[in-house]
Amino acid sequence: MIKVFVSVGMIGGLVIAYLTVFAVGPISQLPPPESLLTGFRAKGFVPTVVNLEEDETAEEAEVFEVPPQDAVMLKQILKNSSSMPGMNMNSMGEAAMKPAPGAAKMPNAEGAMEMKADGAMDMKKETSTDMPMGDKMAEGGLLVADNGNFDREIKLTMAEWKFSAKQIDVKPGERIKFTVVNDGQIPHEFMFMNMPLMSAVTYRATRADWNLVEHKALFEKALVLPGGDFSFVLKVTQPGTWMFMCMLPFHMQMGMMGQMSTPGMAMDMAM
Amino acid sequence: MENALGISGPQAIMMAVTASFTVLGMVMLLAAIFMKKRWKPSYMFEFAFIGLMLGLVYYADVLSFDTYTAYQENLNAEEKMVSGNFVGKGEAAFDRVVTVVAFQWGFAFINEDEQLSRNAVVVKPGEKILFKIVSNDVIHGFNIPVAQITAEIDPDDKREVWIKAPDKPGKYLIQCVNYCGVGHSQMKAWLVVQGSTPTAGLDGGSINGDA
Repeated sequence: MIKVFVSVGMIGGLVIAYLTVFAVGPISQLPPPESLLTGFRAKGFVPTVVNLEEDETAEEAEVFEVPPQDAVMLKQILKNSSSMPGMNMNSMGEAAMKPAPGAAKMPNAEGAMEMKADGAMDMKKETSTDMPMGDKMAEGGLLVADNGNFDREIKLTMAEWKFSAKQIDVKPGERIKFTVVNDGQIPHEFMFMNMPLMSAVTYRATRADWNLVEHKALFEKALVLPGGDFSFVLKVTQPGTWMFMCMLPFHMQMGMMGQMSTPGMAMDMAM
Repeated sequence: MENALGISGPQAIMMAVTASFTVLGMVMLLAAIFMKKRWKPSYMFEFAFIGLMLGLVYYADVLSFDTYTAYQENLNAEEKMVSGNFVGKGEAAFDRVVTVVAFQWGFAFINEDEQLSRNAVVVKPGEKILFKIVSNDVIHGFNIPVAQITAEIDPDDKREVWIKAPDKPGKYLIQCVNYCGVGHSQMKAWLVVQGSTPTAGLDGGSINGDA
């Protein structure tokens, strides 16, 4: 009789081990069926304007810290890029980037990123070149302004949990007007990041205080309420690849990300 | 009477009584073990002992009632309250009215000028702030530990709570305390206290709308 109990226990243990170690499903969740803000606007609970202005006092307060590990990584990147002109992505970070011939993978928020070893991502330009266009400066190979002349227009839709485009092909020197609409039921954010900034995110993704730390980005539009939209003009000043994503907790992990790249610079996204 | 722990009043008396009975009990146990001859006290002695115990229990009851009443009075003193539910009257007495939209996963704060801030609300020390909280999707919580306030926000409903901002400038946590999805643990925000204490507004009226 004891053998029966022992074997049942063994089998049960193995099943539990399999379920907890190997058969773990993806972190995902059904989005809410509707945003209740519409009803609250009718009742007067929240302002009727959908595209609300940003509160400057909260921005100026600088309450959000850059996590220590991120700060170290970003400092290292800046140091490398200023002391070694012409250095490419490969020597960028001891962190997560390894040179890989040919196409490489950019899997998920775990963040092991590999890039094409073309050496075309020139960090010297990315951090030290200042080219004013409108009210913003060139940073990370992108010039961003609120409006201006543009060659073509791209409309992006944000919803749970994806963007309408996963891949945007651009040419160096191109000016693009982005119009981003939040078509989902949850407030979302929109950010452009280059690869060093993305690698700094990997540490943050494991933290419980995601909302309490700074998400450094080349372009950032925080909190677009459901139904809201915004637009900006972006100039690609050099070859490269950039990620755009929603940086609310788990939105990016569940698929709200995409990439914009110049020809030959695209990464394989295993999603 | 203040004891070695710096506690005085009924609490200290009760601690002293409890300690004496503990020591007495230990001594009696040791005596029962090591005394050669059994001690047989008279019945009167036993009755007296039980009577003493009952008296002490009654005394403890009276004291605890006094302590509890004093605690409640202290708690309900309006000048000592740092937070509470808003009863719908006397909104003009507040220095700041903030609309909060709780969503999956974060807080959006909308100030009186209809400006939006992400995961941070900036206030001045000692200000009285009214939070009007709505939920965008599911049941969320709203907890500010430093202000001792917790509220549950049901969908399709509005919760109104008020807090008195801490006098010390700094960053204080605001968090969700009702499980609301995979990002619940990361649904936090900052209550930022900075600047100088407001000169007006503190005596502008009663928070509870009685004045």
